[in-house]
Amino acid sequence: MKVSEGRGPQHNSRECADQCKRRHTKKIWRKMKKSGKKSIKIEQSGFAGSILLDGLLPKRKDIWIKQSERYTDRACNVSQLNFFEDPTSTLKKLSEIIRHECTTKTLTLNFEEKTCLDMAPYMILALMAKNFNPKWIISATCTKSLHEVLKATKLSEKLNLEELKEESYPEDIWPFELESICGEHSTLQTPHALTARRFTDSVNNWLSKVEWTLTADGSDYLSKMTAEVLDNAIIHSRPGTEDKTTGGLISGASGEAHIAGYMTKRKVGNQDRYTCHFSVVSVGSSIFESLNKTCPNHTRDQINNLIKSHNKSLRSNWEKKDLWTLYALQDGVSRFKQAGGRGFMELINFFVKFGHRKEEEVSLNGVLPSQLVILSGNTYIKVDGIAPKKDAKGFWSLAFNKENDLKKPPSGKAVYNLGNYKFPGTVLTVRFELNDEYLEKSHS
Amino acid sequence: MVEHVIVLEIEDESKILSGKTTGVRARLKYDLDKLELTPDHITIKFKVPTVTSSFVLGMLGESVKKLGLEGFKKKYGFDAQNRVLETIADNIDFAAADGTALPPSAKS
Repeated sequence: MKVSEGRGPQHNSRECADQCKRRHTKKIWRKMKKSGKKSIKIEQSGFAGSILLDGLLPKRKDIWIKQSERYTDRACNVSQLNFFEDPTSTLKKLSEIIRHECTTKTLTLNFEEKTCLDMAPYMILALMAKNFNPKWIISATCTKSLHEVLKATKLSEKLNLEELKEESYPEDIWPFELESICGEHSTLQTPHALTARRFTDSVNNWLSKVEWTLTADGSDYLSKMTAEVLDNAIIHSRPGTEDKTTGGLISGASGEAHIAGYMTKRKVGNQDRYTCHFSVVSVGSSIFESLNKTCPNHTRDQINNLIKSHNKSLRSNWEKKDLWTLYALQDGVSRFKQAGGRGFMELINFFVKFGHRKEEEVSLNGVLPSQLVILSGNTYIKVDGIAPKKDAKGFWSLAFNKENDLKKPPSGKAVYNLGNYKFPGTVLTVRFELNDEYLEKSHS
Repeated sequence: MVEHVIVLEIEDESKILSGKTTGVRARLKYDLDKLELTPDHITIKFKVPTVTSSFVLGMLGESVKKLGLEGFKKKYGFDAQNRVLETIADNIDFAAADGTALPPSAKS
């Protein structure tokens, strides 16, 4: 990812924050010296804590500068926000924007991408914008194609957005606008199911524009999958909260999840290719934090024993919590005593069925490979052309090694730790080309 | 023997029964624990086209564990579209297997 400054003096936001902080500290010392007091009250003007912003930039409170001492007219060039290819730089860029929120009065974000390669970072940026200091003024420039995506995330409502007129990109984009779902409900009707239905209807709407539709099986499959993913995101984000309507049997039902997506149509050779993108974001606990906090003892023992067997092969790019996250995805592993824990394997199977392409097709010029990424805390897992396998008992597993053997460690390319960079919650982002098997001509 | 009929339907346009919480809620609403103590047969009619695995496991997972697979099949009948029946059958088998994909050697 390129990180550079546009308008304004040449310096990056970290230097800017440090410089502002030094100035602020000097001023406090001068005041203390003048007044003869050993301490003075420091005004944290406008600072409000935020799980998302403080999670992405833990030093946010420390570098916060009061309004009167902030820089004005800063600019920040943003390119390649993309968890599929560069998760560390993407998180770094998001935290850099938060640094600007702490130290500047106004900022211009120059989005340099011609088009969106991953919906999730833009969704996170939109969620960040809801929590930014209300006095902070952000404007932005972007291409027409990216503007469609920014509109879908409702980010454009938060920014003073200027669309670059000269750009044109040879693809059609149909967005599914950001929806935020709260888990709390008391009947059999659930907000996440309603969102899942709307999402499936959107995909059908997109397809109808090109005279296609999902088959009945395809429609059922997509609805179920979206509902399961949202339900998982909701109950994992607030693991400690109790659901009174289930007599305390289920916890975490009061969490939140956010979903947005879009489909693009592009010409590859003589063929039209339809690529579906969607991302689900939940802010709060990571999968590891959620499972570790609330799972039954036998699940904890099972996971810990398995991790012990990997101790010798633990390398620097993993931590135990990465393996916890990997095992949390396997069939039957659940936070609850009741049978469950099927959501992730079903999702990955769905992804493989709906979008998996043979390598030779993917390598065609201009065809994006199908990819699914789970980023939870600082654990990164990438499903890329690899399918789960079913054991004799009927449980699905995905070990991310050649033998698909959970007793052996996963590939360090598919499962790894992002070190100092983390997301406070879980991001699931998916990109795939629709498999013709689940499509039919709408008039048939 | 009495036949208990439970009708599961939802009014909103989602037409999806989804979520473990919702499944557990349905289990409590229709008092399945109590009904299972009687000799009565229970038929569940799903008047929705889409049901997720987590809903089935939340509503019926405990019943499978308690009654065993054969006992469960004697006790319960289902009236639903084929796709929903497939989801129910798949998850009943899953609940009956009562385990995880994690390797047995890892068990404590």
